[in-house]
Amino acid sequence: MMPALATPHARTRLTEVLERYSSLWVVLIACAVWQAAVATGLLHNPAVPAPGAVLASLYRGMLERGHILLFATLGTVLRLLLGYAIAVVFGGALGILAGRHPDFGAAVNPIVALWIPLPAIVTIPVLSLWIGTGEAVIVLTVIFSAWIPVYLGALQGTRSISVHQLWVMRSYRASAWREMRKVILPGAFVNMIPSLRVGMGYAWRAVIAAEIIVQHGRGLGITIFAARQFFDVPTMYAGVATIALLGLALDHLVFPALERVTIRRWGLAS
Amino acid sequence: MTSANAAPAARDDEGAMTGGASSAPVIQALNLSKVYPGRDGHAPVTAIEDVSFDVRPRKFTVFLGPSGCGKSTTLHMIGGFEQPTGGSLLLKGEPIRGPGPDRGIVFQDFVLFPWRTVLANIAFGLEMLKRFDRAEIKARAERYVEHLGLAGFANAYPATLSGGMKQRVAIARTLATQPEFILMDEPFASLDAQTRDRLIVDLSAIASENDTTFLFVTHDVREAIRLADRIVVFSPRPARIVEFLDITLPRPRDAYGPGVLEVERYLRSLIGKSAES
Repeated sequence: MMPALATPHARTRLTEVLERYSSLWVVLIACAVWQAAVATGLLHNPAVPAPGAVLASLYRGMLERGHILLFATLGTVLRLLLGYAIAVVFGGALGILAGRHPDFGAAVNPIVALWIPLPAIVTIPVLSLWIGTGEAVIVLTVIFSAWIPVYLGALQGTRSISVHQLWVMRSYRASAWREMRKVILPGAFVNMIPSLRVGMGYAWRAVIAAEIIVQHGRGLGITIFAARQFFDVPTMYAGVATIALLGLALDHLVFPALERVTIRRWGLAS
Repeated sequence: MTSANAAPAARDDEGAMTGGASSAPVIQALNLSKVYPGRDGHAPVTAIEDVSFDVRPRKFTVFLGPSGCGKSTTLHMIGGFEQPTGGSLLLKGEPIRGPGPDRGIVFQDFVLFPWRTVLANIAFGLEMLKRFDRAEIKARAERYVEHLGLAGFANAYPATLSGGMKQRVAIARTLATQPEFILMDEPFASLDAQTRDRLIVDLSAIASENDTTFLFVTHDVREAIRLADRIVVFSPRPARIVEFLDITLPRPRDAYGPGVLEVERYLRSLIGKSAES
């Protein structure tokens, strides 16, 4: 911000709007400069189309041309959500078990420690030996990638339930399931949103990478790769833009919304 | 160990009628001890050693002693959360095997479930017990919202409440399931003086209109006098019991009410400065 605008007296509606949407303006200005560079012939490279061309390609890919981008997006999102859901259940269950039973945690932790440095796509060659190259490999890659942060978050979340909370819980001698539902799950969840978010980020990267390598069905990774091969550069960029925008939406809309209806409502968000 | 009734606590008729001494004890500790094993080369820690006492039903018993003397450990063992390493601890003639819904517990650190509203926190125990249907749980919880002076806060979340309010919610949750015993582990120790005063008055009223047996741990002499039917005085660690004292001053007891100061002077002389903190 310009210093002159920093004093409250100098604030106008315009400066407020500028400030509020500052990140959007940065992107728009960058696109405008880029567009101008192409239009004036300053930037002349078939590998770098103008933003306008990318936007047109994005529009046509979504709504015309047999909806190739739309279906690719749907395919990717479905794989992502399926893999992520399984990763949350699996990683969450394992993390809670490890948090509740230190011996189990001690047994699992070395495996997790070995797993953490593995990039998700390393599993693709291995998996394809076992089960061929199909949907399952992509979804499994997503799971293998996303379960780690969820596991670590669930472990930490479960451990953060206070001894006294556990004592109060135990004093009612309820069934293990009831204790799980009424204390352990919500107690772990309270501290888990950041790791759920990181897990989603991992899952999102993994699904695109796996699609590009496995090349099965419809998906953004597949479309981008195919567009490159046909030298349909604008479509390639349209795919990349879709990935960026969807990833941003997942990260900046879904998780803040989840926080609003949970920890923010409970007054626990910092 | 003898009783020091003789000194300040004038026994009144009502006290004699409800018959503290004649009722069979519901909790009996005999030569109770608790030693924590030493960790990382440290020597074992003896929390309490050779402690014997009994608790009479429907009475308000206070464990009074300096900080860290092992009185909380004793309470935790009665709660079934910790196990004695020596002696015997009987609950209605049976050794204590773990916690149970007959013993509700309130801690110093306002143990609530932050994702639940005040009403839902109070309903927590009722839900856990699986003994009541939804409508009854709600009705009971609402009754205790009123009872603890929490009207208007039923739908608030704990994070928005003051310490005193939080502790009221925790007490309401504990009362709601109507346990036979309520164990309170320095419940007012982290509250400011005014809030503590209000809670002492309210708890004293609740206790006197209830058949519940209260066990209350504190290091605050005056708090003990204002609440107790009977005070068990612990020595510094390793805890031994230095005195049993029946308090029969009329209720409600003001902090500066008749007799309180005399009892306080007596207790302080008994346990020395270590009881203050």
